[in-house]
Amino acid sequence: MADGRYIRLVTEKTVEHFLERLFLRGMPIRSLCLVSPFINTLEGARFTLADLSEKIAREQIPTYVVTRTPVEPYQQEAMAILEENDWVEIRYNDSVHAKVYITTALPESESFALFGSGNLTGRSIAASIEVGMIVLAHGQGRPLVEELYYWANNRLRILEESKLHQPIRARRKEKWVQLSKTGSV
Amino acid sequence: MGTTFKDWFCLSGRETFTIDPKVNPSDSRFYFGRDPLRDRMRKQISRAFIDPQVPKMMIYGAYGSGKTQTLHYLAYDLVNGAPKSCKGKPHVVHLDIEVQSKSMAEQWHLQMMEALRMATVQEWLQALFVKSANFEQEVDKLTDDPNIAMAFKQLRGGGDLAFNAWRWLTGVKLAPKELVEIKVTRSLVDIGVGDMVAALQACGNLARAVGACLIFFIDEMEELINIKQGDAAGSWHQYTRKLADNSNSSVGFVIGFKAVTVDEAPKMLVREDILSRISRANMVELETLSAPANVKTFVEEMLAHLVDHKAADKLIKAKKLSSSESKYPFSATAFDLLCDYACQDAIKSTPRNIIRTITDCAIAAWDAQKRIIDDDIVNEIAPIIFG
Repeated sequence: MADGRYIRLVTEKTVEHFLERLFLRGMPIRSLCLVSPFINTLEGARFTLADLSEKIAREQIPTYVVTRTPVEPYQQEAMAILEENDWVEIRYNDSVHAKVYITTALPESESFALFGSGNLTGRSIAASIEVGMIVLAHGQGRPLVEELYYWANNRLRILEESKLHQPIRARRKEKWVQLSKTGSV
Repeated sequence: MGTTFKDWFCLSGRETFTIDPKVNPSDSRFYFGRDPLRDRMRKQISRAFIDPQVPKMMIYGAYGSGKTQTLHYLAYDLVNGAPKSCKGKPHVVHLDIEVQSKSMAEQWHLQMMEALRMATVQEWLQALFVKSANFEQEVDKLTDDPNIAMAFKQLRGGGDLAFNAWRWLTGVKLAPKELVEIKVTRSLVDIGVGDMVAALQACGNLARAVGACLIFFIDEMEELINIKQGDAAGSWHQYTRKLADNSNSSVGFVIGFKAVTVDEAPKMLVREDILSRISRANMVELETLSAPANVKTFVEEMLAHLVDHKAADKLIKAKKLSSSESKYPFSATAFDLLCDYACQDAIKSTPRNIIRTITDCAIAAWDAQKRIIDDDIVNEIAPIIFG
């Protein structure tokens, strides 16, 4: 049985609810999974894709994006923003229809997810009729967030159709250079 | 490509390298690279079934050190091979505790009872009914509290009365009319935590009476640091103390919490009166793996369990891969490199980080259509996680 405190129905600006929580809560974020068939720059929305990318880079958040191959200019523009970010992995999967967004945080109880109908687009936030469920990793919400994370970060990424477009290229610390085969740093 | 990730890496009956007993319950059977610790915990648990007759243990460690896996493994181990000293069939109950700043022990009790489940207690009561010549007398033997005994009797009956009896046992305050209907004189929580623990112990006694042994595995107890109010903290402490007390010989517990040292633990869990009751030998610290030998053993054991070695051996020979059966899907040098990275920072040398690195390295190899994980991939992935 769903626990109403931790699994909430959202019927307005569904994706913005997710972004709002991501931006406004101050917890350290371990990783971010964004699964959306269509992504645009979110221009005009409260939080733009550039804002999100800036946060990802600043806080060094390993971020995993699965979306469809960009065809329209608006998709290409969005991908260009994400491609500049060394902390973002991008995969193209043209079968993806799911819209799932997951933040894993420290402590784990601060993790949360959104799944529903909303794409990561300005139109989804501003104009379309969308519905979604926000799940907080407390109580009965926790196993759901964990399963969503496992699905997005493991199962979806290893599907044959999920073609890697861009891997994470970042290193956390400058002092980290590749270990040689002799083991010296 | 025409093949799956699982087949690509010769995984044995699983989709990925990720180990998570909460998502895949069958992963509970894994416990890698910590044989001495596992043996020590097994010994402590085995002894505990002799005195105080149930295990009372606390497991703590840094984030990612394997607390959840340890709790699930211990539960799995008990269910699948209980020590001879255990006099009943272990009935394990998992609970991820949830705590708010004002949470009292009532909320803990409620969560424990809900995790145990009404249907389980009803089944036990029914089993007692079937085997007893005088059911009511047998129920009276389970507890000194006539209200708890009455609630048990109502609970076996079914219907609304049973449901209200269960609500009463969980600590929910019933309306006066409902109290009258189930024939109890007051709410369980009217006086203090003692009655709640007594109700839980009565469940433990009931389990024992029908050949079971009740043991809770309670995770995320570091959440207790959220409790800010003195009264609330006091009630959790009292509840823990009573469960830890020798007078409780029917409800076992293994508590997990995140803390690098005992000093970081929620104070109400580790006060001297509690530590002296459960004994310091039952405070188990999960250290990070850190030492190269520990990391190697961990990774080797993990790969040994997750990879189908016959298939891997065949593949290594057919494709002339620079790997070996014990290190596949890593090349020999990439395996050593992974272990080197994992040992650079003792704080980050955790099972969680190592498993994540192996998973992400494998995904990177899969993306590049490489049959083995080479140095380049480890150098690409490991710094993101261990850096």
